[in-house]
Amino acid sequence: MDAVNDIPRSRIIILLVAFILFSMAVGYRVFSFQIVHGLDLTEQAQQFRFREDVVPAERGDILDRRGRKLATNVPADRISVIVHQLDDPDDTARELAQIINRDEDEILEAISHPDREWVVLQRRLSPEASQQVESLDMEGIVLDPEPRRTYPMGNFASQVLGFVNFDYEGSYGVEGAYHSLIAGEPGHLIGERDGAGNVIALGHSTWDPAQDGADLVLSIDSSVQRIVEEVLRETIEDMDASGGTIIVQNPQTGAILGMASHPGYDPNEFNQVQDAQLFGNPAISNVYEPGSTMKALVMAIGLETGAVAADTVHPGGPYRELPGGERVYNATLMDFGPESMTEVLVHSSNVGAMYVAEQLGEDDLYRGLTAFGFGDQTGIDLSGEESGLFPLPGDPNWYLTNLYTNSFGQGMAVTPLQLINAISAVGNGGQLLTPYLVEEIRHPDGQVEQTEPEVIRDVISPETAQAVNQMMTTTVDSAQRVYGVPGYQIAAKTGTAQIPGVDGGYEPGATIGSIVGFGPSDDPQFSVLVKIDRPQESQWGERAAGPAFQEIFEELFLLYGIPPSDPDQVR
Amino acid sequence: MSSMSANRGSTSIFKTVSSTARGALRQPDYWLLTIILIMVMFGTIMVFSSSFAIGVREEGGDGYYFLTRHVVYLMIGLAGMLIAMSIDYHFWRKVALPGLLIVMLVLLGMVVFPSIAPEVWGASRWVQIGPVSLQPSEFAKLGLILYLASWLASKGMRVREFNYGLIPFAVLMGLLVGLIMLQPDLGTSMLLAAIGLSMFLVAGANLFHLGLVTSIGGAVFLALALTTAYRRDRILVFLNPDGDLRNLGWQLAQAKLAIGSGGLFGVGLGASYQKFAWLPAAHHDAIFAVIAEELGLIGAGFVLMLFIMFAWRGYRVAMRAPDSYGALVAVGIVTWMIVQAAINIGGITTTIPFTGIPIPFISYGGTSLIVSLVAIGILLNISRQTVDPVEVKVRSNLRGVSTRARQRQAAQPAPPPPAPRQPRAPRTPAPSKPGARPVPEWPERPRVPSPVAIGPDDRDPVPTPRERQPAPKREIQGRPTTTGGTFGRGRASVSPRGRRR
Repeated sequence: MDAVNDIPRSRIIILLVAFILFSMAVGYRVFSFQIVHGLDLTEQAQQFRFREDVVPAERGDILDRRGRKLATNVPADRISVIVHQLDDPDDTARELAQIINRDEDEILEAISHPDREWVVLQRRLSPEASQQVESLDMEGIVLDPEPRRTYPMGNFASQVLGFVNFDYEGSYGVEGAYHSLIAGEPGHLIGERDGAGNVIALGHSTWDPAQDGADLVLSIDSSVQRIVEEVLRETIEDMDASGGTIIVQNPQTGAILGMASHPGYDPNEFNQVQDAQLFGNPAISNVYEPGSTMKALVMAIGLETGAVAADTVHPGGPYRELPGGERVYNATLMDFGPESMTEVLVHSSNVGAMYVAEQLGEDDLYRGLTAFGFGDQTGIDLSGEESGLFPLPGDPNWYLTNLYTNSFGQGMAVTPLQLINAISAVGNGGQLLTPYLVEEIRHPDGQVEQTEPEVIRDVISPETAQAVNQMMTTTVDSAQRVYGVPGYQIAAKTGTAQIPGVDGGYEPGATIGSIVGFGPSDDPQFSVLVKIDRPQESQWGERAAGPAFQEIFEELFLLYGIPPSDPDQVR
Repeated sequence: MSSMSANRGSTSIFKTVSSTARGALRQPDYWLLTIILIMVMFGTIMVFSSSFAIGVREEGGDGYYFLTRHVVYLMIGLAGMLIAMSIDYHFWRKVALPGLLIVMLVLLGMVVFPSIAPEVWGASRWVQIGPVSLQPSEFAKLGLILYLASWLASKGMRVREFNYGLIPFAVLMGLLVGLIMLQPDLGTSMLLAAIGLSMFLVAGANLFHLGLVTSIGGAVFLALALTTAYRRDRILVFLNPDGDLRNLGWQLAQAKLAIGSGGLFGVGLGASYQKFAWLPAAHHDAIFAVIAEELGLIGAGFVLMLFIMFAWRGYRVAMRAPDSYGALVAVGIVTWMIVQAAINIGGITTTIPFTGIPIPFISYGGTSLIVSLVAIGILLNISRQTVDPVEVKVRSNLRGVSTRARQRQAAQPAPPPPAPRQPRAPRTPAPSKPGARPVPEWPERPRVPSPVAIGPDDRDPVPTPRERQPAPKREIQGRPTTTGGTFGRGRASVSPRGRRR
């Protein structure tokens, strides 16, 4: 039935040759991929495959001295999109826009970027949003938990704690100062992944586990801190003040029990803070003229050097004329007449303080004040500490008048911490200690590092300290109603300072009212500094800061169960 | 075709193999068989290697899921191959037309009643019959080859005529390819077109016609490709492979990385990384990339070499097939396999635009593997009936003369008849011992002297089909006789030399 007997079979050769030529083209292609570009492509494939995942270390908790958590971590989901796995980017964008509250077009643009393989859409999802995303059950959408720092007490000790930013780096406060310690060492999972992102069980993965961060136990007592913050808030409200700082320190160890400045912020919502200056800690970074609170320290130096004795009486007078002719009066232009050294503190006499400074002379006064730590950082375990403004003889901005004005706390500026630390040295019998916030470092391996009190130097003898303590106690006794605690003996010195203005003079009518002291007098357990900025109700330290000081001591004695020295007086 | 088994003692098609008096059925082409067996063994190993992770991931942790299924398909396919190898290929001539019509009806049914062909991966290519899902396009390939070979062989030189050859050919191809395009299956459509055109070429098509139908077909393909979004994407991805990492661009980019990671010797058998969900369809469309990654340039070259050797041995069978039908069937089957391999390998290496069709014998099986192996069985059966290449050469030389010249030749006075045949050389295999069969009485008819000097001793006692005439019934002839066409009747017959083997 075939029409002809045969066909031009030689044409088969054409087919064979064509196939061989094609095979050669493919072979060349494979050769080009494997040999010419082999290394490149291998590397690219590994980049796809070997994803180095940083395994975040658990950031250490921050506890107060009673073990309450001031900062800890909770898991929060992060939502990412594997671009090539998406079925329908438009649909995905529409669904996600509702859940994460972002613009649909914005999401669509992010997830349809052709060059990107992986897009992180939103971090720190709320648990509800996580659940909604999960219930979408869409291909290519990945939820993975990442830790989120949380501060259970909210706006509490915020300047002490600092915060953790979106990159999980500690900023400011203890979070910033101890970041490397509490952050730990992130681990690395260099995993061979399959296309769905899972580690290939039999693949070459290296696992370098994370070193978790250490927990910090602060010297802060959150009960004290709560008192301090409440009192500060009330006082500022009552006094219609612009701000303020309160510090509570243990004078025997240098430990900071409470430290607050107003205004604070909520470290959970650090991104809502408009003014970055709020992140700073005024207790260690704001300098101010200490005013009369300095008199106690000048007196201590006078007694220590023997320039004056406790029973020395100076002639007194309404004013003193400084070299250069300027007259310095007592506050409210009072003339106290001849005063004993105790009366100098009780009266807060400028003329008396200047007498002491004159008796001391430049060398001893400045040697003494420097020994108390002025002009230098206290060395507290926080960053951002100021060293104050403290011109010494020989400095270009030191004038002979400084010798006199420094004696009542003008012409120099200190940080609140410097001042309370110096007063604590009086309270503890003469030793200047390094203040600290971290009491204990609990390493993840169980090792515990305890902070030992560190003596910087002996500034004054215990006898001198006792004498000044006595004088300051008398000062409080004479103003018992204002800032004393009935039934208890405490030592304190108030101060009212003017605020240097921008034009070189002082801000008219604006003062900083402050008080610093320790108690109980016979065995000082607490040093307290209260500093109220620009109080409108009363410009005097005694009135502006005194009641707060009083209230804090009352609470502290109650809290720590300190027995009164005269139980009958306790109200 | 009607005379095929009319003169046999038995009507059983199997018997024709074992008990034909012809006894000319020899051993199959062992080269070809070996190449195929190497391919399927290698393929099984690579299917296992590339599918293990997929099985674990997608089939409930069963890493052997695809391997076990592949082996089952392979066993069925090998059985089919052995059976087909034992069936005289002329049998298929009878079933080709009804078979092809059934396939085309099923394909048409799939288009008209989409419910019988569920959509998978955006195309409806499978028909579910009970527990078995079949891919009718696989049968379409075989049906096309078997029918087209029959049709082209019966046309003889008239395939050169526009109305007689080109038009029916174009209509048939257009119908079949069009049905496949409707599924849609661009890769298989291209493959079918390539098979048809190759067979048309070898059948003696007018090269101008061939060029015409190729360019019209190509233009239609291109038009379809450019008007359908996803096909246009494929072409764009091909032109700019690094541009889009989604979907297909992703697969090709990952395939490129897989191939590139292989280097000269590969990362080691079973050690592919890209198969871990990076490379979609790693055991199917993309298995070549896994081979290239695990076994390197050596492995990839090995696969290419296997197909080149297959093409060589397969086309060699076509060259030596005892008749035009056999030659065309062989050409069709070999072209099918190598073009399918070329489309896949070329696609995955981005040498040509990618279309998702598997590599024969190596990719994960299914209908494709079974039908391919049955086709190889048919090819092996043809190889068992091959004749001496010189004989083919003699015919080809004759073919080299133009039609007109041949017509002139036919009009010339008849040359003297050839010398009586001698028993064949003793080197012939056992069934065809010298003198085992009677020498036929040759009718008086014009003969053309052989252009090759052949001694009388060298003659083959078994006449080739073209020498057979319808008139004398000869018991010894188990093969179909040529009835003689317009050109062939009363025309040349060449006595070949004895076979060399």
